[in-house]
Amino acid sequence: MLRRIRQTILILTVCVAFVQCGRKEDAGKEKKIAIVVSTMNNPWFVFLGQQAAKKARELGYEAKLFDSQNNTALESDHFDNIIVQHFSAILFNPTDADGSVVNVKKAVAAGIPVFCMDREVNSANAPTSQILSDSYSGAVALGKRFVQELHKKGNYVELLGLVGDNNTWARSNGFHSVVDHYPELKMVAQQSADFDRNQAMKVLESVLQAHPDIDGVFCGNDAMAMGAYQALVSAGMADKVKVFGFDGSDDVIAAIRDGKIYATGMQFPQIIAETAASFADEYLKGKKDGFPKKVPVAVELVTKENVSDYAGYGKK
Amino acid sequence: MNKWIKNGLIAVLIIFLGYNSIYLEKLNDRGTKGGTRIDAAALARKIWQNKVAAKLDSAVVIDSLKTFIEANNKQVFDKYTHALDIGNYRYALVKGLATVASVNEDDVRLLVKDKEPFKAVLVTEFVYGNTLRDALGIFNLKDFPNTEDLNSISEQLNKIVRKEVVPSFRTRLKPGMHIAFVGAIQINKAHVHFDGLEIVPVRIKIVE
Repeated sequence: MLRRIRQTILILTVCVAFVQCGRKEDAGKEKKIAIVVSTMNNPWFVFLGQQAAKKARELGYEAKLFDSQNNTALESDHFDNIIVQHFSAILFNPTDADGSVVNVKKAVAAGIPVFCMDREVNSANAPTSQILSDSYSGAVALGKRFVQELHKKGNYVELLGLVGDNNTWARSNGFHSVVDHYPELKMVAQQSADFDRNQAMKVLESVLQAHPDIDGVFCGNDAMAMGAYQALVSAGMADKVKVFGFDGSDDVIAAIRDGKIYATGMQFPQIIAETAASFADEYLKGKKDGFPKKVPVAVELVTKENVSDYAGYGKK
Repeated sequence: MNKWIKNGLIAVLIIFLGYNSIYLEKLNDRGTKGGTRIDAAALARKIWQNKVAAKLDSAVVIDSLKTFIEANNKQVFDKYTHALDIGNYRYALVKGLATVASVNEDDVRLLVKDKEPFKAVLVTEFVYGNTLRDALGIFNLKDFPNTEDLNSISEQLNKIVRKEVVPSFRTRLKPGMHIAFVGAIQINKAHVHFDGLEIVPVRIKIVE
């Protein structure tokens, strides 16, 4: 008798456990958002990913971060896993404007909406929305400041980011849309340093050997600006050459305050991440249309005059 | 002999295939592809002739705007300012009276008439960015899926200001003169600074 009761209790316990597992899995299908970030090697993207996860959790979702390590193949693997694990939406920071399109399409075909953050993919319709810093306009403001600081003449170097990222070209084109109006400003070198601090240091060290007489360096992001500044310190030229960045990272804000870096474009990763997470939430709650295909987020010029208004990645 | 011909043909084939399988392009040519889809110059001209003139009289009086903002009236940004980007930058078309303080190589320094007069900069050289485009409040993001088009419109409107508006008044201005101006401004709503405000000139009249 006692054995039967034990067996019955055991069977009931197993049944309850199965039912609960099923329920959890169902709930997971409704409540999981994947955040895929191009690289966690750059503090800017770490911050972007963390803010997106934080907002998704605040909205009641389980959030999981995936690091693509700037590798489209790894990014593709992440998407396969996300599809298999039945995530509800993807907040996506792509590794490559062209190479990442196939991953977005794969997710959309599986019924998972994709919201791009900070970097765009070259597809007008695949992502539900793309929330992007207005890199072009931010770089126009930096270009204007660059010309003013160099008094419309001198030699300069441009360090580009990843050549496969549209932000690289938006920033470069915005900068040149101003600087190219001044013929006495001569670009002696334009090289990619992949948005990487160490790479920027090496590239500028090499450029300085061929072109020791430069007056300014325009960098496509703050990590490269810090690398460029290090190279100039090593060459004993830090006081003479004016360095400009783009991002609004902690170390560059501090460097502007200390007079080491001249200006940067302050991006707002928190606004980008929170907008993407909110859009995903609205979508999952039934709003399937009406999202703007591209949402530009203003980039603000930070200089020694207004640096006290700012903190890393945002405002005080 | 046959061997020479055979080897020659193989060499030609290798050179041909090699040449056609490698494509070299300059790094700075990468970023200048896929130009705009609209005739931005023509559109900017049309806007300048048909819409800007009509907007001038509806520009907000700058000292009123300043008073509203300083009174911490948040609604004033929605009512009088515009922006295509989300964020803190807002743009407005403003009008007012000012005294010329100095005429410089790149700008004209002004003292704007107000209960408490403040310094402003009439931009004459560095007319770049979206201040004028957005201050007009006539563009909608949904009408321009290609952001390059919107950037080009800004560039063309700025070009009209640099090449036509600025030469129309710049050489006539002298320190001490009084002017009536209509211009576009950018305000950071999180950190409002009216002192040293930059004004993109749209219409400048010398007041006798």
